[in-house]
Amino acid sequence: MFQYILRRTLLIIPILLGVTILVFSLMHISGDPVKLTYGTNLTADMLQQKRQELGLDKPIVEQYFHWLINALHGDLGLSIRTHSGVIQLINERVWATLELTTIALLITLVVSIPAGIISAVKRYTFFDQVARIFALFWVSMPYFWLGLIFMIIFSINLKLLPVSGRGGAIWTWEGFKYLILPSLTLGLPPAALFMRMIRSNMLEIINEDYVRTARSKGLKEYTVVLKHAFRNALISVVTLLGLRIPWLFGGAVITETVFAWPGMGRLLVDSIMKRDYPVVQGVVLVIAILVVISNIIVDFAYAFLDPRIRYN
Amino acid sequence: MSVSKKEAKQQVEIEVAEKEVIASGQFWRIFKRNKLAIIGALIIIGVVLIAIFAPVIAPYDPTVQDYDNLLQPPSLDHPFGTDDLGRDLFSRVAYGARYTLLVGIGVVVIVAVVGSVLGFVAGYYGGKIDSLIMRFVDIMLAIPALVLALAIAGALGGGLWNVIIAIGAVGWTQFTRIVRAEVLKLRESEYITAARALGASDFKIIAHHIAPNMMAPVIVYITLYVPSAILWAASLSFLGLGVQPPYPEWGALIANGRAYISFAWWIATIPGLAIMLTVLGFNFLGDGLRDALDPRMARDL
Repeated sequence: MFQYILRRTLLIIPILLGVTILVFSLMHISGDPVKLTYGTNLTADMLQQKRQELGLDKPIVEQYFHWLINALHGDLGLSIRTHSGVIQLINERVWATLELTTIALLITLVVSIPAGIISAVKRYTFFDQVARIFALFWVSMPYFWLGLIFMIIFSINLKLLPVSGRGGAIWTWEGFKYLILPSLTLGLPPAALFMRMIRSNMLEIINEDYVRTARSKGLKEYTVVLKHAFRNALISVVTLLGLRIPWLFGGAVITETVFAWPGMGRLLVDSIMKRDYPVVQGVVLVIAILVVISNIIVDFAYAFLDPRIRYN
Repeated sequence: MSVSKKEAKQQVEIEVAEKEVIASGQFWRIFKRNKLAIIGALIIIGVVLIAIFAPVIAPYDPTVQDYDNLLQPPSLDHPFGTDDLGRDLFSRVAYGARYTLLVGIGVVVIVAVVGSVLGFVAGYYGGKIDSLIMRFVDIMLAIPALVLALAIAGALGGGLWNVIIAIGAVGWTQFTRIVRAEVLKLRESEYITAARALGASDFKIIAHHIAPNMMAPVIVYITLYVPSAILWAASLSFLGLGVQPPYPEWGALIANGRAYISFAWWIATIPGLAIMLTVLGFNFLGDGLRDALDPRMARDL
């Protein structure tokens, strides 16, 4: 087990290196950021001076290694626009994003697991049919539109929840009510996908011999369903979880923009629009690190649930 | 060997042909039974017709501004109401179908071509080229697709074609994995070994034996990929990095309506319904195709 963890953890180094090269080259095909930022206000000489200040006059490979070495020392450079440290900007925002994604993930699981189990156990009943069609509608909605619909219903018409923004620490009601709509927006669409996955897996498992054995030895139905069937269906839930985690962070970018939730997503969109490439590089790198770490956690959960993986 | 080379080859071909006939017969039988798939196909045909005949269907010019009719709610004159510049929303949504379908088709073409070529090369030749391609895929997958698409669209600048390129550039990774896995599976099968033993070239094996057997998973995956492409394109436009106003792309229409949701709900909600309906059509159709073409895959979701 220890070896597996070590091997899996070491694998992230080349991936993250690749991410830095990819993002770095992407940001440098997009044109001269200095010209885009100051273009009309400065003379050619002053632009050249700006480029020197930012180190943009050097060859791109040299720029990359300079950036990489600084990044390894925890320095992601300065924003071209605001001149504040990229690390500092990210640090101000990353927690809001983690709050949003964590609560959204909880919503996904809390909704999809019971719905999937009931759908499978009560197969072809009214509940099952409605849940399945509802799920298809649900995955067909754009996040940002769903967010706006929630806003129109719950904030503007019913006046139950605030429209957007952040109201303070999320463990107080005052702060938490700002998080409700964004996390529902981000958490509910994937719940539909999870529900369908859990349903089809449960259906397959319920026909297995060991489930029949459990039934025939007189165990109560819920023990059979939850202990024997669902625990095995969990393995595929964890697999899907691993696949969906990048989506979660991608969806957070949109959700944060809709609800003016002050996370990294909005910072990213703003910085892309303004070609503030040090910030874009930093944010994408941090998001990639979060994705990779989450994937490792999922892999460990997987190894924990399915002993076959550990022994391979 | 008692069987001549030619006879063995004929035998292989007959078997393949038989499989195809059986498969196509089954296909229609299963597909016709699936009502949702038929509904999906009808929705898509409807959206395609709207896109083609938008100038005939639309009662107004989608770009003409009418300052006497600003922010009008849906009525007989304006079935979907008007926007902040008095433009007829029904006409704008009708024209918007063109962008959505173009994005869907464009992205799928890029994804299918790039994904098939790389997946084939990786799966068929294996070795160093395989590891190289798959490691690159791993790197791409560490960045959320939408984030990467945003960064690419930002780097290229907005506009329809750049949106298609940006989404296509992030979309091929999963498809490459699927094609590679299928090729790996087929490469070891007996009829490929037989074809190789008969001296068929790599090209012939790929074109005549591997490609036809991969059509089912490819068609299913592609149909199920169109919804993602449409949703991502709408998201890029919504965030201001896709198709730019005044062009009536559905995501851009929603972005425009966002400022007015407290008193003109129709501007943001109706284009969203159009997106949802189109995506739903592809999801229904994709599900139906999957059940009909490849029952093995039905288990996965």
